[in-house]
Amino acid sequence: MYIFEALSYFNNLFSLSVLLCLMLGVMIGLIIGAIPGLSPPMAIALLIPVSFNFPPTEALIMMVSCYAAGMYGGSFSAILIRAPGTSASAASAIEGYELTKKGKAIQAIRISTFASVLGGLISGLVLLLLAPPLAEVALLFGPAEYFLMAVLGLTAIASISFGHIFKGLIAGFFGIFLSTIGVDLYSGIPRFSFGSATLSSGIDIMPAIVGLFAFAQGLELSLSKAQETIGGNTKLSWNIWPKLEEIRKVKHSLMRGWGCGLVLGIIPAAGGSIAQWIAYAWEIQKGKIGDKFGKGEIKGLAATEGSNNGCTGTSLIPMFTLGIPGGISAAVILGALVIHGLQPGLGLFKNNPQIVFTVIWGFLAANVLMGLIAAFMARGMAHLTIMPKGLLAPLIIIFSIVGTYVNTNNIIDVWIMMSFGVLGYLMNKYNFSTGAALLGLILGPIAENGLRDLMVVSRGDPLVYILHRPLSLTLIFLTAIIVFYSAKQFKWQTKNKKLYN
Amino acid sequence: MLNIVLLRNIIIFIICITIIILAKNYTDYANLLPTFCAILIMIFTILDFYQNRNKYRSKIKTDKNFNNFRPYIITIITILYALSILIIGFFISTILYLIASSYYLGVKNFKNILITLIFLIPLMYGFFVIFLKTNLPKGILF
Repeated sequence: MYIFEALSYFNNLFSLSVLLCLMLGVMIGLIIGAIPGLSPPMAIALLIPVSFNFPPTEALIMMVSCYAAGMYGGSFSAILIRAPGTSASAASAIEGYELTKKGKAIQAIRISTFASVLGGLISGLVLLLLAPPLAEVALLFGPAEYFLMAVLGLTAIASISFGHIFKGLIAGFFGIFLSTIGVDLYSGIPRFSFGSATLSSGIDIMPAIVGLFAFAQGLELSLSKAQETIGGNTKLSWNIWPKLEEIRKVKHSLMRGWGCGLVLGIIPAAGGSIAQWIAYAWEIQKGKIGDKFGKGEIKGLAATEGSNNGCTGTSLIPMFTLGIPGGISAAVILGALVIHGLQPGLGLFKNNPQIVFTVIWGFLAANVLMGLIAAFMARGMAHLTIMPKGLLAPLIIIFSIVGTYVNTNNIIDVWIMMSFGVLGYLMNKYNFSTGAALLGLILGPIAENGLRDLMVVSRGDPLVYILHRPLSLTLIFLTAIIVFYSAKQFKWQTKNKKLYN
Repeated sequence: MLNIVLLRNIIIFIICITIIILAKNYTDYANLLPTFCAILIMIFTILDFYQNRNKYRSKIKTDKNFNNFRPYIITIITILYALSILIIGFFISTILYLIASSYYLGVKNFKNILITLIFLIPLMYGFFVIFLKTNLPKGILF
């Protein structure tokens, strides 16, 4: 009955105002997502005043389209110039940019598009068909599970360090340390803020990502000759549709990526930023002899791209059904939902089915539309790779600065971003993984808050508390498997270094 | 190579010890995570040094090309750019920055820089000022 009801609202998509909102949301999402520093939540927030001109259905379709397209748009700049537009596309910059350097920018974009569009569609279908039952999974997550999920995420550091495991761990724990800067929520003590009001509020993720990846990339490009290009002399291909053999090669990677995205999307506060790293680490664990992770491996890109869009739909599940936003973007959409007079919760599906199901169909349509638009944009965007590095480096730096400034209208964020940029440049130079540092920065607060909440709810006996929770035990089991395989792989690599290389 | 690595490790140790000392003043377990991270960073630094000691001892020819300083010079130019944004305004600073940094990096063809500027400035103005309605710093000029 539920499925038939959901299907009956499909026709609502075919009205001029709905299609207009869909188009507007996708276009704005793609553009803002592609600019380092400008994030999908900002794009959605900008659309709120515009949405007042439309009925709630159209307004919400515009926002969910913008969210889906923004998440995908970040991959363009990540792949082409190693400047991720969103936090969820940072991992794609590793393999994507290496492929671009080999002159395979178009191939990288078409796999990214395929992974993102299908990931978004699967995620949207899960949202459409399974939202109410899956909402209960989100409720199972307590402090113990958040802490263990962060630990699980941190195990990815070992995989993304590419042979420099201790340096990766140093970078990861440095990232966690950076996440402790600011007022401690439990004691109210400002940590390492040195009296600065800006530091008291902690380090924002966005300037850190823009600095570590985009600004650092600008500095790295400045080392090359002015007339050199990223893509070399390779001619840009016109073939923007993925080939069957390419899909066959990455089919398992895609499934793993989508799986990570779907599961982590449901958990509030997890989302694409974490899913991409776990998917990437999983992919490296599954690597075979001949795979070139860290040097342009299409499987790695497929997994990260599949995961970040795979979580877009499922991250809306707790928002629609429980009123708990899965991430910042979902929080902004939740705000818009309330502004338009709708009450989130399971009642939304009973009282306003025409709105909620049409919005979900709109979300699915947005994923298809973004794929079509991106396919046409791909070749034009890929021209960035044949731009002289002498011009591209300052342009990346300019966009890093303006993107960071516009995000908060605070020049101090620009200084923070630049500090991270110089740090990122030095880290790359001495083989310290910037990805690991970013992962630490993202997971640090989740781990710390989870552990301290766990100490409170377990009354100082976390072990006994965890042992009585099946979901916690599952997470411990998963972490143990990853650690075991990482250790095994590390030992194997050390033994067979020549063969592996 | 060994000297550089030793110097780097000493800097890491000094930072970690400073973190531990500063964190000592924090109560209610607020010191736990930073201290834990600092200790682990020191341990991993030692392990990294031990694991790669032979590699670090080997003499690697360092390229003393002046081009290696380019990122640092670009950073200094960018700091001046970020400061000038507040004084003379975003758009004028951006034009000056693009010309100065591209020229420094070796783009001698001014036509290329001019074409980039012709596209970039109206595009940025249209997108950030007209569409996003953001208040980019105006300074004393435009």
